[in-house]
Amino acid sequence: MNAALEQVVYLVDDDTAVCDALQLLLTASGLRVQAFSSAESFLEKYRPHDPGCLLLDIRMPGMGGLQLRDELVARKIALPIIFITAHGDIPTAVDSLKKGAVQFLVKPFDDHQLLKEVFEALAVDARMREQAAQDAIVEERLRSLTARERQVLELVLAGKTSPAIARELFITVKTVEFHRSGIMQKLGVSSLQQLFKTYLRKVES
Amino acid sequence: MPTLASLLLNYPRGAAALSILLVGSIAAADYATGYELRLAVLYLVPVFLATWSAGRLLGSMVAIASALSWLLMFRSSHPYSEPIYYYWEGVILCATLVAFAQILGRLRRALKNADERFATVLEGLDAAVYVHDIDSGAMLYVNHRFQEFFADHGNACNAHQFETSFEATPPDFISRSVAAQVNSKALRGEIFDRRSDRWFLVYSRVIRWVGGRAVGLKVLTEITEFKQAEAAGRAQVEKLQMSSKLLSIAEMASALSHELNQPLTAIASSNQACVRLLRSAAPDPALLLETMEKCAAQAVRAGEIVNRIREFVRKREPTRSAQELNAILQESLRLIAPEVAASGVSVTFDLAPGLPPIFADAIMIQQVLVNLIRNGIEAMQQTASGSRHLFIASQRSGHARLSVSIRDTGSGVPVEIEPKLYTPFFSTKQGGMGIGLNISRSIIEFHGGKLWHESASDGGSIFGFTLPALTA
Repeated sequence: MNAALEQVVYLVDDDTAVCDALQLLLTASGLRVQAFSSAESFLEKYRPHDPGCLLLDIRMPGMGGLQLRDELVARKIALPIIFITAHGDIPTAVDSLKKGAVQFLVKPFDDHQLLKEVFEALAVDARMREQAAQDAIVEERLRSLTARERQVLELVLAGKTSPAIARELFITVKTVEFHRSGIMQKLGVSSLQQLFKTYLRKVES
Repeated sequence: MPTLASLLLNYPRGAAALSILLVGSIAAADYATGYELRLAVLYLVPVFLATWSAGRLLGSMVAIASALSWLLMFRSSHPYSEPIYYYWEGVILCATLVAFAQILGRLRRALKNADERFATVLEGLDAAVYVHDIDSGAMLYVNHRFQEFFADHGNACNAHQFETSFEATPPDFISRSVAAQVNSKALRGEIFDRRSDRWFLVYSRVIRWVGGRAVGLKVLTEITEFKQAEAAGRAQVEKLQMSSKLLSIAEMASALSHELNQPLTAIASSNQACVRLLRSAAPDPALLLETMEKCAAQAVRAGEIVNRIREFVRKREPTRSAQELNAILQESLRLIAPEVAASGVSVTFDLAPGLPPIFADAIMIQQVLVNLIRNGIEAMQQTASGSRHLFIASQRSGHARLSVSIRDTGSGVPVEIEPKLYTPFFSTKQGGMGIGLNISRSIIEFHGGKLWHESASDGGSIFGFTLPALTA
């Protein structure tokens, strides 16, 4: 897992003592950690597409944890977030979970629990990045199709046979077969099954 | 004689009949004894009887009857040289007796009035009055109110037994009151009647009674209502303090749990990091040492927080003393510094130097300030994070008064909320109890000050209060 090696746990907490201790704990567990004392300084340093997860305190002077999350959403940065708070009030927790936070931890917490959540968040991040990378390839390949090939692909994915497609597009069956093999080649799939699996969702959307 | 007098007063008809009988007897005796032994002076007796028992009118009638009977009896035994002398003597006797009856009647009326006035006052008193023999404790006089109060009291006929059946304050009050000297200053004490749950204020002194002997006079005024009001007032103040403490605890609890969990998290995480480091192949002693030292520092930090809570919550009597208002203001801010920091509010002090001290309970004033500062912070939750400012100012306000104002840059108090600001249990805050301002105002008024609020020119609100300065 090349991605896992590059993954960084971004730690944002205004309390230096907590920040220090968590950084040490995570480092001792073999993770790469970058600590920030405010949401603003994190936003300044973080480059979109940097892999990892965010360990985020909710209550901070200036920009709070929930505001930072909203900011990330606005910037279309999909970084898994584990909220940590010393203020375990339920309404805040529910609110943040509704907004799609990966997890919510109440200080003080057990290191096993923390590490479990961190590793899970990193796994989610890795999955998301892999998915994103694949999506990018698929998009790229789809863009390489000609307009006619795209038409044929849509009809294939709609479950139509070659003669049916030929009738619909007023072309010969042989031409349809020709386009089909071209499509398979350009999209890098060897079977119809694989084609359906990878592209059905993409083309429909 | 008093007994005979009272007998006569009680049976006026019998006395009248007796006096008529006496007139007849005297007349008969006079007739029998003849001219030499004059018994006319004895007519004074029936006249007295009739007058004393039935008043001047009957007395005068008996006097006239006596004169007539004298005339009747005397004439038969001794003729005068001239009848005019005889009648003249009859008229003189009649006039003398009637005058006697008139004078006696008026005297009787006057005595009766005096007695009635005395009785009306004593019986009409709201206080229970009794007079008792000092040695035996026998009751010599009790008024109507006393009988009413202690009708069912078993020992009401002996003062010593009666008095020792109460709880007295001061405790030696009863014994001192018995040993007191005649005409010395009245002793004052309170007794509690456990039977009827009543309190009495007792004035006790030794006076000269009829016949010159020394007796004890006690006047008992019921003060139960006053005592109850006093107790209720005390309970009210205590309740106020307790609830204001509870309020502070409830509202501070969430902030403090946050505050306390920070060092605890640091400690737990550092500790767990140490464990991991020690388990690793080559632990770094320097890093371990540094981490453990940080751990200890965080434990001390947690301890300080706990001490601060304890200081704040400790149950204590209100102790008002000379206090520096500005010092209280700064200490209050320090108390909720974590909340202020967490809310991103900047606080600006504008404290007037050289203010005279105030006479106040510092903790109670702190509670008010913490409340108002917290309200101000919460009012600015919707304010842009860069423009959350709280201005705390102290200054002189007129003669011998100091004032404090706390201005926030929030959105102000909504008009529809304003009338309900001080209503208990009304709150615009989620989870708020709605008694903060109410209690704050009570505390300030308890200190002789006033709590007020107004809108700031920039749309925020100002809450302030005045307190009287301690003047030498």
